[in-house]
Amino acid sequence: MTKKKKITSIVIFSVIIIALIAGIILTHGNKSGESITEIMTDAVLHEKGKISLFGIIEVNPGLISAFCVSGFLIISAVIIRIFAVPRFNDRPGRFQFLLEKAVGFFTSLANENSSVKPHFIGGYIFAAGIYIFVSTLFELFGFQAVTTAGHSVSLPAPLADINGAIAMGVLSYSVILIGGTINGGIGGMVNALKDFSLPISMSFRLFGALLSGALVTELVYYYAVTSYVLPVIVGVMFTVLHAVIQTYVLTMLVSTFYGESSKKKKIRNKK
Amino acid sequence: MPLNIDIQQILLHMLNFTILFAALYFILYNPVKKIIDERNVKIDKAMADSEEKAKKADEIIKEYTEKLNSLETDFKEKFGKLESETAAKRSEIIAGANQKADSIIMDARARAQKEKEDIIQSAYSEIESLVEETAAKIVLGSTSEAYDMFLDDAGEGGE
Repeated sequence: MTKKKKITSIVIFSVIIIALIAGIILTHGNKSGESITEIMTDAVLHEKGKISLFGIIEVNPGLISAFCVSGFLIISAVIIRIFAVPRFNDRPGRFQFLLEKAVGFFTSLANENSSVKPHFIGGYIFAAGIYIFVSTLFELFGFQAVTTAGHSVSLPAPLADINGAIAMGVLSYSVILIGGTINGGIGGMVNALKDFSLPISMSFRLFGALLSGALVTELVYYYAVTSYVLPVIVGVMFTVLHAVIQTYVLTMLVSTFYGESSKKKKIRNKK
Repeated sequence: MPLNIDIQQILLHMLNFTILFAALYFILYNPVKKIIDERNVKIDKAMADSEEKAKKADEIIKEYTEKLNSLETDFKEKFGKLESETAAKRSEIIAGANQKADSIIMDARARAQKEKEDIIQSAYSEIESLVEETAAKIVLGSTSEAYDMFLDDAGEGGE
């Protein structure tokens, strides 16, 4: 046996032995700290881990995440508007192509579903889509914040907070209702009001989808034996998939319902 | 509130998203949409221009094809006319030539006939004169002398 082969064999055996020892220690279980029930309840309700907002009120970490995401997006938009947009030309580069693709996607979604004022609803679903997508990916970065109790918490996705999801659902429904009333008159308003369950379904769909990812990730992290490698796959899979799926679902629903509620007046006018 | 729903926080979330929507709408969506629309207008215009040019080119091709066809028809017509004229002239020339040839032949024949007749006539008149001379000699001289004279005269006449 050559010297090289000997070294390789020793390294392989050492890794196996270390892995076995680690396995034996890790499978001993977690018997200290918060229980899984407490952790998951807190992940859902955020009753304990409150964060002070400028010392005025105590808010859920999700709201801080929302402010961070919005701040990031607005600053990015301003930078893009000042430095990139003036350089855009008829032969798009990669970045221009990406941005135009995003704008074009939401615009075509609005145009397909709504014949009345598609520009406004296109802008709304563009903003909503970008917000949902970026805010869902936000939790992957694991930014830390300090609670009023002095604990450190990882900032969650803003829409994993029930208040954020309700706000998004209600705002989207308001856009549909107002758009329906302005464009479709009383008929449009009634049409929008018939779908009174829409804000609830939109809110809880977002909340449930994003929370499920957060809960599964929490669950996987809680047990030491599953907290290696697996959370990366589970976390990334849930987060990225939810980011894409929820962005598409909410923007499509809003544009479809907006188009439905705004359609009536146009048909009447044609008659 | 159940599920830790907090109206104040919902309103804060709504305010946050409204500001974000306004910012993204005016700062990013509108300018990029404007760029896309302007480019689409340019593309549509270029497409319309190219379609118009293609249409014009088609019209020109059609016009030239029609002209070419009419020229071809004219050419064929003129060529046919010319061909028939040429054929008529040719047949006329041939007929003229034939007629001329016939008249030449007729003339030649007539001349030959006349010459033949003249020769025969001269031969007759010569024979006649010889006969007369012979008869005179017979009457005037001996027969042998007459024969000799006849033979001499005949020999001179044959040469």
